[in-house]
Amino acid sequence: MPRMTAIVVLSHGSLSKGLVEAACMIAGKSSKLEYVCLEEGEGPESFRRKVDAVLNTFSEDDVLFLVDLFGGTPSNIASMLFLERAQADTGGQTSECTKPPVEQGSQGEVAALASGRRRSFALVTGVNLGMLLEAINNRANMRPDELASHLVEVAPATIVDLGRVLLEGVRKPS
Amino acid sequence: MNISLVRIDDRLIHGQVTTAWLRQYPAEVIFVIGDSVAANPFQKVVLQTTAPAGVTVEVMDTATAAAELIRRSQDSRNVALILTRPADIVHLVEQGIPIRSVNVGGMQPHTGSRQVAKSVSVDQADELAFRHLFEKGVELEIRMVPTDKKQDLAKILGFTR
Repeated sequence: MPRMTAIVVLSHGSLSKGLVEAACMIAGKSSKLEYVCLEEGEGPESFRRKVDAVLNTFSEDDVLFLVDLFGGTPSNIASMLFLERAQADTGGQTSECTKPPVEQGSQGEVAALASGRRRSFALVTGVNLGMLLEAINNRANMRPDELASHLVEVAPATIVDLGRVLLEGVRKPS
Repeated sequence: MNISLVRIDDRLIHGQVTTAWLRQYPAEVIFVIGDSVAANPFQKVVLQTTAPAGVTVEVMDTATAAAELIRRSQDSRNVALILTRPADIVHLVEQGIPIRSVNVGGMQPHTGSRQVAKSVSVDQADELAFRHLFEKGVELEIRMVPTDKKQDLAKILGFTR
């Protein structure tokens, strides 16, 4: 049985907090659903420490990062974590300068190794409430990478020029 | 290459840079300059894959940056230089790279640093480097986004001619 993928929403300002609160309003309280806000004037190192702290609470869980803006600091930090994770999976031939931070080797990592599979990460940009709900509803039966492709596939359907659709509905002869 | 922008920002390339700064100071090429960023292959990949459309991002150490700017002096494209430490700009200036103004956009506090403005903390080495640039006649201005009012960093640091 696939492990339940944890979801971490990352954003500029309190957008991610608001998205998670809104999702809980609709889907009910959900475990392993966290957010990290990049405060105004906060640097990447401080933001990364906050993300690492959240990741440590999930121990061995797989993680899907949903980020607000492609190329922004939250997206860039998640990209670094993703690449470090991927590198660790391909033999961990990290050079001196690319050594992951001290959080490596936490109990979670050990537990994941013992269970025969390491945790995996996935990362999708452009999060909105529809996408977050879709992720919550499907995370129990999809691996993070499957979940990521699924979200990218369905995301366009969450954005609708509703006025046009409504007018077409009105004009349509019944 | 014509240098359109020199910016100190320890977030390197991010939303403010791609949306606001490049609009105001167009550049076809961004040099991300620093010995530690150049030595981090992950960060290099992230910077290059998230480059804004139509912009080439090159990540290099300070010595390479100086050499490349000299080598490509006849290249007609605009380049934006993004760095994290003022000492790296001193190095470029000493190599003869024409830099007249430095935008300071973000220097996080670290051990031994003191905060001199919102989002700007400097240590002694930074201060020395800024003083050197000031003495060479380089403008030092703090702005997070181009529409902010310029704050004179030299004045804040108490530099006088």
